[in-house]
Amino acid sequence: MKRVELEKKVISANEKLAQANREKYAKEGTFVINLVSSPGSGKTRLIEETAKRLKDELRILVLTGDIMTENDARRVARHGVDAVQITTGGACHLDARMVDEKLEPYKSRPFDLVIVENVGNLVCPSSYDLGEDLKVLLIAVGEGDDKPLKYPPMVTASEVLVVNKTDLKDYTDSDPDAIVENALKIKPDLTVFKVSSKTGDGIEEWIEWLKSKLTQKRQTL
Amino acid sequence: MHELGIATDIVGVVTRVAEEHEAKRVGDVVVEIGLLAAVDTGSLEFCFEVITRGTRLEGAHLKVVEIKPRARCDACGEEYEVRMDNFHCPHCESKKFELLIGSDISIKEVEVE
Repeated sequence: MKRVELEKKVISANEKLAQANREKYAKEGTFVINLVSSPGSGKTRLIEETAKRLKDELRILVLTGDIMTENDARRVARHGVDAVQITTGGACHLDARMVDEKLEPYKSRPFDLVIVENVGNLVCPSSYDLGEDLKVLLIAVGEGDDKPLKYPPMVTASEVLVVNKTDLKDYTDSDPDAIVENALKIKPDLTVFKVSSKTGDGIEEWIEWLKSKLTQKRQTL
Repeated sequence: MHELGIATDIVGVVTRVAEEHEAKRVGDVVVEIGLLAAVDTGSLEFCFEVITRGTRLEGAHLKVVEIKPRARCDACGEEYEVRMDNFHCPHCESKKFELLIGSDISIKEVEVE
């Protein structure tokens, strides 16, 4: 048998599509985030709070991923931003093709901020580039302070950590600082926010950061 | 659960290689998988075998080489194998490092006949 040597990265079809989307948004100066977490960490709620505060200032498009139901897109749309549901039917993560299909009807319209809410899962979404600027990892207080150590690929794939539900701190044995400390063992240069979507605590810092990233992206135009 | 998609990608690449070399048979397909790629090797091998049945790749054998993540410390410059529960430099305990390998999935070699 003849040996053929090659150096070919897999998931190349996904990456090609993701790259095409990234280039399109780079040209338009749209900031794109891919929000990842376990189910129930509060991705949708954080998006709702973000939409409430930024909808008059920015043109926002939200894509929400789940196995079933249109619930999340409905929740987000109530706040006056464009929201589209992706139901995967069973797939445990979003891929660039699913995102691209849903974006198609919106391609002629410019947006400032696109938020993709991935399927709740701390494993598979780490491997799939959706064409985002960066992944934001959300971990809720009470979920298990060592979650970052249990799922290191997701931590290394993310640029930002948002510790959510800090209002639960006094009702659980969980410590938001321990979550942060564990995440920094895996990725020391994470940008970290501690927020409570319920009380609004810490949300302003998050909003300011989003705006500053958008400004940065605009400057590269 | 994304192993089927990865297996499909691998089969796509290997099929093109087999066509280019007008191969009648494909032997070992060597794939390197970083431990940070979150891939289950057993599931991947199973998916590969199932989707190659009845194709020109039938009988090809997926050989998975696991790649342990390695990093270089920004402070002392040492290269080291990453401990999965703490990525910091074991030599100087610095928290600044660059991951060198361990996140990718790459096809390295295909045997054709």
